[in-house]
Amino acid sequence: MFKFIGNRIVFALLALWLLATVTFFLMQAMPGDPFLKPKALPESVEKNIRAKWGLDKPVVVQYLVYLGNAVTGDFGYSYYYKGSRTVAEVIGAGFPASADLGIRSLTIAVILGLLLGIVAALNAGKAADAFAMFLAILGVSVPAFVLAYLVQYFIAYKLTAAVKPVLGFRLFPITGWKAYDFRTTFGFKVLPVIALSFGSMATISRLMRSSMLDVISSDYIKTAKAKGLSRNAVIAKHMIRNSVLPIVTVLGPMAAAIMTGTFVIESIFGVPGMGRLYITSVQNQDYTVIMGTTLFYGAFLIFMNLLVDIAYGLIDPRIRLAD
Amino acid sequence: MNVRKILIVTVILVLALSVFATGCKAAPKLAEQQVLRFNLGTEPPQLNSTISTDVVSFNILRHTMEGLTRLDANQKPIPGMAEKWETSSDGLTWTFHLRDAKWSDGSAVTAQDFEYAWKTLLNPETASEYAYFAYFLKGGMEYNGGTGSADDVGVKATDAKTLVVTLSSPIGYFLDACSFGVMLPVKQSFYEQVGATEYGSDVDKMLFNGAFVMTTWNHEQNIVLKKNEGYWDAKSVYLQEVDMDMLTDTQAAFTKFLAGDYDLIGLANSDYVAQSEAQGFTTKTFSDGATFYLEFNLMDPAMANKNIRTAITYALDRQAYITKIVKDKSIPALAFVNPDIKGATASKTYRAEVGDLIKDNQTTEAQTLFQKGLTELGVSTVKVSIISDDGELAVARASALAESLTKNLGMEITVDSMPFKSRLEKMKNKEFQIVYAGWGPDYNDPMTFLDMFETGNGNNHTSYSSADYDKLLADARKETNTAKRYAIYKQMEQLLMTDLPIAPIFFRIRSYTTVDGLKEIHRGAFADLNWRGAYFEAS
Repeated sequence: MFKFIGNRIVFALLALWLLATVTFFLMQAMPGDPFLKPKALPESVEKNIRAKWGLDKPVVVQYLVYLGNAVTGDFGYSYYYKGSRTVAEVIGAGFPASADLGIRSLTIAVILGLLLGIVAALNAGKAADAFAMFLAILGVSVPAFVLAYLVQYFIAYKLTAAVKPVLGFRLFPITGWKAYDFRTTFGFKVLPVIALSFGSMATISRLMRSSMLDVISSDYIKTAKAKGLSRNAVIAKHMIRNSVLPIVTVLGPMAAAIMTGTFVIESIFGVPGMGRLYITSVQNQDYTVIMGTTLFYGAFLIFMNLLVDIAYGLIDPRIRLAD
Repeated sequence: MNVRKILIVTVILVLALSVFATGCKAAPKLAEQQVLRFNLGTEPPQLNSTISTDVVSFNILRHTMEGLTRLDANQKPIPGMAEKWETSSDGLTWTFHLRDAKWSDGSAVTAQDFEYAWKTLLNPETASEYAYFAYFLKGGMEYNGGTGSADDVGVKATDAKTLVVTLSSPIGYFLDACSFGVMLPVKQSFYEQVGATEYGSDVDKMLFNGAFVMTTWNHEQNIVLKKNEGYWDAKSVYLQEVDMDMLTDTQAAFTKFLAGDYDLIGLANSDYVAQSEAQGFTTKTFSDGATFYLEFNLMDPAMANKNIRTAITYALDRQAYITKIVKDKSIPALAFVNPDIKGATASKTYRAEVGDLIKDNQTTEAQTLFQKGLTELGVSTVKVSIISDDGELAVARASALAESLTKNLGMEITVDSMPFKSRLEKMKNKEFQIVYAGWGPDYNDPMTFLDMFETGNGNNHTSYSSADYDKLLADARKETNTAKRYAIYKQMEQLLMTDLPIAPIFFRIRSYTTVDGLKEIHRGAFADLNWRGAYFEAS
């Protein structure tokens, strides 16, 4: 087990170095640079700025300096924030909100997704199956931002305004993260979580349904039934445990994507997460932040996949990690 | 004059003045709640005035800090930290006398705070993008360029209350410039204590001397300002609090306005205008000072032909284009300098003084010119591409122009859309034929539009080069007499609109709306948004 994890860490570092290198040179190849503005800067001003940020050096030197600093944990300052914040601070400020939203959404998506998938598989071809799969298709095909605007407009604005005279306070704020009023504390994460979890829930339920259907018709289920196990025991011990592996596989990348922030949901609900960084850093050509977010996402993804591999072994004894 | 006469005159004067004073400005009827709420749209990257560059930062800085002057509701410079000033006859030396005013830590605002701020702005190590804004200071360009020293920069605090400024050449907008964000004061001891990188990065890392102080800054969420009770003119500030969100999503912000969470909202396009009017809100408009135009690359063989350029310029039907495509209250541009720019006299704008300079919607004349151009080039047609940004709106606007030129002139014209930075890169490298561009003023003087067409200017993407134009520009820079300088500006613009390296299209007008009862909100090209004297009226 330790040898396995040790190997994985070595490969992870190698992968991150490759990622850093490719990103660095691709980023430099983009047209323009962080200081290309609609209004041209006088040469003297541009010279001062390049000198301050080390952009006056050859690209290879910049790359080596970056790598050297990154190894010591220094990811530099953000150009966009004019050096008032380090990349670590920018990501550090955004990640907790994104992760908070992500964990809630993922929990709901997994619980509801599994439930829907199981119910659909056990009632294959019946009304419950049709309903569950209708929800799933809706979830997969309706983009998150459409759902976000819909719940924002109809629940946070229209419904909240309608029930405010009855309740005396507003049910859901339209946007915001830190509650301005303690009574709304419970409310401000509900809508973004709904918008964010719906798509993942749909994916999980579809996967779970097809995986369950495969398992249901296998021989060991017949054996279990034949030896007189109760229906619930068959479902819990044999069916679910054997069908959940594909879910665990997608859960790694899904968790990495959902927990490191989504641009659309966060900007619609005013969540101070890190989702916007992926977009704005590229638009602004904020080199250090592009590198920082890419490496952070890469590291997180590798870590989640490692967890998935470990989870495989726990769920399915046939997959052995030790040797 | 005997004592009695003096007394009588004095009494009459006092009476007349008091009548006048009460007649022109009655105290507003204030509502109980004086809290303004709106959306900033984005987080200010930081609030160190010496390195700020963006409108959001300047918006907050203008209300929490005050320069030697500030812009009033009509965007005219009026005394701020400076109570009065004198200027030498050559317009090069200015002596400012500061009023008694305090920083938010209780210490006095001194002339040294200005000297330190301006020298910090110009310090090459600060590497401020807007350092060039202060190149009008004697020795400013040399210090920033690494060839001069801080001691030779033309700003000197001769005592705590007196600031003597020496300019390298007389400029017509110097008092306007003194109100600008990068020219705000910085208290040296506080700046050094906090450190240059940290200064302005958080609420406890700033000092304020303006109408408001910042009390909360939740990064990427919201900023709260409270009225600065220690401000020298606190009596003319009515708002007790200003709450600003940093919501990037315009639809979400608009929903918040409808739900009553905001008192003011920008209406980004005609859909929002229609929705807000359907809810009973009155649409208000203002000019943001920007002119939109086509830039022709004179290095391109087809675009180097003046008849072709003139044909394109004359063929456009600007009003129809604004009505059908731009869909707002923007104004057809029949010259380059925006109508927001002040004129030689206080009563008129420069645009009103000079008038229109090009023709619009002259299809027949344009076709004749176009054919003449083709003959000169020895070709039967030209293929031209317009580069534009890749936003939906930008593409629609460029495509509509291309379509009308194809229809009116029969030229083959396509639109090549690309990300913002790619367009800037192409403009910088002059890899284009026509670009759809815009220009907003930095200061209130025609020079902010006209100097970019100087030979070799970094913003002159057209490669336009005219010895006559350069000569006029040099003369205008030296001219201290306002009327004479404006006469030169007029000649410059006439020359520009004859040579036509650009084809002006429209002067942008933007829309917004507010809740009823919110008064004295001022919007404009130079001090947008101005809520310093705003208040909610009692109903």
